[in-house]
Amino acid sequence: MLDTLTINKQRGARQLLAVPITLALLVFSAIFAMAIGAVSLSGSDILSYVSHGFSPAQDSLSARVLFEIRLPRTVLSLAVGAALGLSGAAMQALFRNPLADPGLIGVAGGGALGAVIVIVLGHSLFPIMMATVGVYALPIGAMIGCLGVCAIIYKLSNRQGQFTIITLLLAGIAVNAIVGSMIGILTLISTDSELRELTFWTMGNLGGNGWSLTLPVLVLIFISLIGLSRLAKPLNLYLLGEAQAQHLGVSVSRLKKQVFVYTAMAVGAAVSISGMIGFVGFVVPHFVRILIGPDHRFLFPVSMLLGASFLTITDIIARVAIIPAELPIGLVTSALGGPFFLFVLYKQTNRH
Amino acid sequence: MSINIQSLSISIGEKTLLDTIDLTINPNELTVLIGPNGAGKSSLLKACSGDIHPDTGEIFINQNPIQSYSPINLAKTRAVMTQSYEMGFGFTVMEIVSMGCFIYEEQVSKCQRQKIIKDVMNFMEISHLAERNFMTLSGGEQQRTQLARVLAQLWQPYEQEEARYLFLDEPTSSLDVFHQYHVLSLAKELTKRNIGVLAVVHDLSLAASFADQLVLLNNGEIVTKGESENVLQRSYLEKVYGIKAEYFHQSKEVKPSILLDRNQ
Repeated sequence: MLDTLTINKQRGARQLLAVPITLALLVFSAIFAMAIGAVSLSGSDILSYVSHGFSPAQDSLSARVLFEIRLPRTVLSLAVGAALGLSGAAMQALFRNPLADPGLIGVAGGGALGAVIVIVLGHSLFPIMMATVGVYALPIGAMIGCLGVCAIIYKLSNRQGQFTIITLLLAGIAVNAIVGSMIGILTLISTDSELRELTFWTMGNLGGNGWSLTLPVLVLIFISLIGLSRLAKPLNLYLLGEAQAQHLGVSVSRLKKQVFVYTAMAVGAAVSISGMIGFVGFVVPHFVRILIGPDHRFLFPVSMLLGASFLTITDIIARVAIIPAELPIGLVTSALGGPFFLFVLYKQTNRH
Repeated sequence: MSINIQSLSISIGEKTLLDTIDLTINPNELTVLIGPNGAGKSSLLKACSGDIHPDTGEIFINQNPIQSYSPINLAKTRAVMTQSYEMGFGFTVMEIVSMGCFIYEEQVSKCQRQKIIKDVMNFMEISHLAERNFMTLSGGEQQRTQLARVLAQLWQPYEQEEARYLFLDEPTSSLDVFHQYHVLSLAKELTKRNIGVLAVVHDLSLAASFADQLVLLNNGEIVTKGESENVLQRSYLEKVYGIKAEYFHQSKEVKPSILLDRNQ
């Protein structure tokens, strides 16, 4: 009894400290990500370059490395990590289940199918379109896949204005199965080079994207993160149950639709550019919840910041582990996140 | 001002849940619904809360049809305690109770809000549990926490011109005998603040002790309604519950109770 009391007293202090600490971690990991690599830059170099504005006026190698490779990649890893962390937390709230994940309702799977179709069938089926959109073909394909799956699931689970979570979940499972088999068929008929490209895509990769590819993704992620953050308070009440939240004055069906649309947008945008990066959306909010409790007003910003830092740090590891080659980041997130999470669970069960 | 239910019928598929119900729930009164399992008590309560929509008939809350209320306005007019609550996340008792302040959160200062939370927790005697994880509480403690949250919703403003309502679906099901009486006395107290209370109670003696208006339901219909003494008559009890029993009120000094015959 006394023990639980003190544990919960600590929670208030942790909630207040969590945002500044994760924010500091984020800044630190971002600077670290820009400094480390095949061409190493010192922290003071980075600060002086950035303080002279974003125009690559200094035409030195290190300035170009920073502005054209490191900076877009770091910004992208922060944005994708924030999107995955926050949409994971939002999904778990929507399903009122701490084990839910954006991959669960088939959003990520739809994105993967779209990307694989572009890789394997793109040049033979729509050659003119592929030529026009160029490098955008893959992210556009992934985005269309995400939105297509969302539209189908949404239509299925939205009957007469009622939005049933169990149908959403079941539809997601079915869609994931269908998507999996279609990707399998496409894998069978792909050539060796296509097979290599799609394998790497499904393992996730943040590299090779310039500003032109990164910016549209950043805008989409930014909008959905703002949208989700504003739903923190009603989502707390929603955890009491749908009827209970409605009784307290929350418009529940609207809330569910908003969470669904914003999450689909954030995950769709993230997947479209980075490929499949599993585990972040699941492990980050769960870990944060253990530390500071389930209150979304704190859980959301902290999951977002920690997700961003976590993905940036794993991306550093992915880049430098086997120089000059790169590890797919999806492998690193799972390899690091999995054991760490098991350790946390082990400590948890031991305490009780 | 009151809740007016006019020839309300609700059915799901073939099953009739409620059949042409006419009932008035007045503020300043405690209305208690009794009846056997599946009689339609919860359905009636859900219809009044706005959870299920009538097939035919109308429900007017303070002269306005219930459909015309937005979720926010409905929440300002009534609070609901449901039979079951799922909670898979480790909120503290205090956090759960403070959720009841959602609708007026912006209108009151943080200080006032904390006072309200403290008051309702004292009322339900859960102050000592404030920092505990809700999921680790006993059934009765959880029920008292949820009740405190529901009370918080109606705590502010303390009194108001417009009548408000409180719906309680078996609020006493997990409580010990002291807290059963405590909760219903509290419900009775609330009726003095221009709040009408509609409660589902299974214990007939408990219902008889507190109800201003007792409503006996069976198969989705109102069998009879009125004062406890008239509703809990031998013939009704036998017809509806299939028990042989007598309403017994010895003196003004004690609460009434239902005495069952030795030979059923």
